[in-house]
Amino acid sequence: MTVRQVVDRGIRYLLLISALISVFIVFLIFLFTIREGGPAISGIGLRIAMGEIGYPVYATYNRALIRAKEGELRAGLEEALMTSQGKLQDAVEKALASADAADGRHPEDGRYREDLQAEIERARSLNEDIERVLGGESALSSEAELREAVEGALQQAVEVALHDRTGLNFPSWASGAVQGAVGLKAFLTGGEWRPDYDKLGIWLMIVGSVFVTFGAIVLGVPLALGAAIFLAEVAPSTVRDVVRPAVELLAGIPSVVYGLFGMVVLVPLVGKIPVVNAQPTNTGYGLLSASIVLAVMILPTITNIAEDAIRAVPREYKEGSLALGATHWQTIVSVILPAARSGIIAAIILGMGRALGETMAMIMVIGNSVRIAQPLNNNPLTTALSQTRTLTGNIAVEIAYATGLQEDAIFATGVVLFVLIIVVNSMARILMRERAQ
Amino acid sequence: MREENVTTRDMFGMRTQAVEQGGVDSSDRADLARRHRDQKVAFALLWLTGVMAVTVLVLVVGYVVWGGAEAVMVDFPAFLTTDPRGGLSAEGGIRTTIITTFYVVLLTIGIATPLGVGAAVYLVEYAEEMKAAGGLIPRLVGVARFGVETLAGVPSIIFGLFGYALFVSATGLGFGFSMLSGSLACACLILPVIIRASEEALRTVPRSYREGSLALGATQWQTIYRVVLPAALPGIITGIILSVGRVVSETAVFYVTLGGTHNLPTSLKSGGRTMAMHLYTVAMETRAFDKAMGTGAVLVATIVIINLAINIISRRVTARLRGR
Repeated sequence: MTVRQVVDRGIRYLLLISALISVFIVFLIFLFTIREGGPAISGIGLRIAMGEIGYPVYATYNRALIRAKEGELRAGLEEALMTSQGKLQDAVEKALASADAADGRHPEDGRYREDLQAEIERARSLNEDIERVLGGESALSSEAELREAVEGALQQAVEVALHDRTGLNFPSWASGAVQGAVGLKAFLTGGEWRPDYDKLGIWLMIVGSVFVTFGAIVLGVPLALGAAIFLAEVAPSTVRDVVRPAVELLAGIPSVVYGLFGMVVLVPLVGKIPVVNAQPTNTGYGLLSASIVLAVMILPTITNIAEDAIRAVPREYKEGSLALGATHWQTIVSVILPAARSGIIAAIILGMGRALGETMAMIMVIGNSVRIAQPLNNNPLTTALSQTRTLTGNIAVEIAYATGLQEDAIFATGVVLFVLIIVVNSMARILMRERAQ
Repeated sequence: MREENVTTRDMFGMRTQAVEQGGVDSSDRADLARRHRDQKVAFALLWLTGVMAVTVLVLVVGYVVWGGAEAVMVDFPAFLTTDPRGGLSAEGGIRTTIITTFYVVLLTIGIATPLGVGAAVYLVEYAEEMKAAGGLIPRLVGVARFGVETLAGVPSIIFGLFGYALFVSATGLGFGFSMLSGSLACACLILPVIIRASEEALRTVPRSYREGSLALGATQWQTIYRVVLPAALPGIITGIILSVGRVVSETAVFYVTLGGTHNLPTSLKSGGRTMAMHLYTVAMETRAFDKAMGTGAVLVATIVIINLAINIISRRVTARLRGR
């Protein structure tokens, strides 16, 4: 083998490696997002369940502690015992059920489960301690001694609750949880996003993303398709030569520039729309401003692709139609557009994908408040003025400081977005392939 | 074809009878007039939408550029040459952000180009001929294609999330909020762009070039290096410049991986703030819209220059292809 051949082969492998690294990166992103976010979804259910058992126990003991300090020790303890036993029973069952449901899906399931059992045991024994004190079984001679013992026990309970063994810090441990939260369903359909209280439902962001995308499509598509037909069929070539590159250029303008325009011009304008009895008031930030900004942003994308699709229709179709006596407009409507249909739909879907994935411009104009899109007063149209949050915005705004459960939930949000986008883009790709054939 | 003619004719709502008879009566003339009127109305509307679409876009971008140009010109060239004051004041210029953008672009392109072009060369020059042979590698290539295609449509915040988890916060690898993390994450974002553009450029090189070179006794790598790559170079460069544009306008990835300090980065592991991030930060946090617009104007100007470069190169390519 000559040196040259050796070099040749070496380079071949080098290139193969670079190809493999590229492929690897692609799949790393797939896998990593799924790995980080996927189990987080099932894990969320389990951890929320733990919050559910922790909170009632902690809360009742805490209330007893306050009463004890106020001198109503007996009453406080009796109340604590009654409520805590009932709730303990409830919580244990719920927690175990969701632990079973989530079993095997999370690498740390085993650990959580052990922790859960330990906490349940501890709570039980504390309950028994109190029972003994109340029943006079304990040898306590004075009121002071009794108080001391109970305070000690309560202190211990609080410490147990606070203890970070489970990886949960105090407020989330002591939180009330989403009622009946179990994994995926609670995450996707939970209406509240309050990380401090372990309420991690992304329903409002899903609704926000869908609404804002829908708004952008409704506002942007007619204009974009009109412009595409105009450029492909109607515009004289001098106009086309100027407009086409301009539209292509505009597709590359940074999204923050569009967002800035939204903030400076649109938001004050939309804010002027009078809404009577608005609760909360119309700030201008919200779905309407966001939809308009997005519509402008997806305009170049849709126009470019749709125009290509219209141009790809074979000349013979058009000529045949014209030769039969159809006017140009009839030809466009009855021949060219139907022939370019799949490409045009693909363009719209790609525009949809871009709208769903847009992040920074959305944060700038949608308001980002964690509330589901709803009317400001009794007129349903005012939903358009509602501030809300999108999936993308949720990730960008919170990832930098999210820890623990919240971080898991952010990754899970990414997975939901990822899946949505892949579904949307696959649809577009299938349509495009159809057209190519 | 014939059948299609019949159906289309029906779709027009024309009076087939008249066509068969070969005669044109007065109601046909009225029909024709109606159809012409419809067309006039429709075309007027199309002109309107076309003009509107362009107007809207030009208005939006023009507003920012116009307002921004004023902000830049108030204190020219100080806006470009002084450092942002940082903190809650939006005082100062954008010097550090311009330099950071430059660094990040360089780093990102530096990471993504060898990988992307290498992958494209392999996919086009080596993998294709192996397709016939069957086996593992062609299957891998199919998977790679699917991956690249899919990734091209994934929103940038996903790359940001990925970069954050893998490069910023991961134990062991974690580089913290830094240029290195940001560039690695953004390189993943532009990798599909570079691979696709390079693949396309390589495919347009005629087969005869390769065959001629191979027939002269050159090895495959010599053929690629001396013949195919030079011929495909303009296309590849276009792809790279296109991705420069993507990096310059990218905000979401850097927002979650670059940290956002207004200071000049001193090493690969120090954070920074690109122009796009600066725009976002001053607009959202300090509400200094004039400064934001100034930054926006500089950004748009950069993008316009990048697009001009692409146009010039692609025009040169077409001219060369025609010349040959």
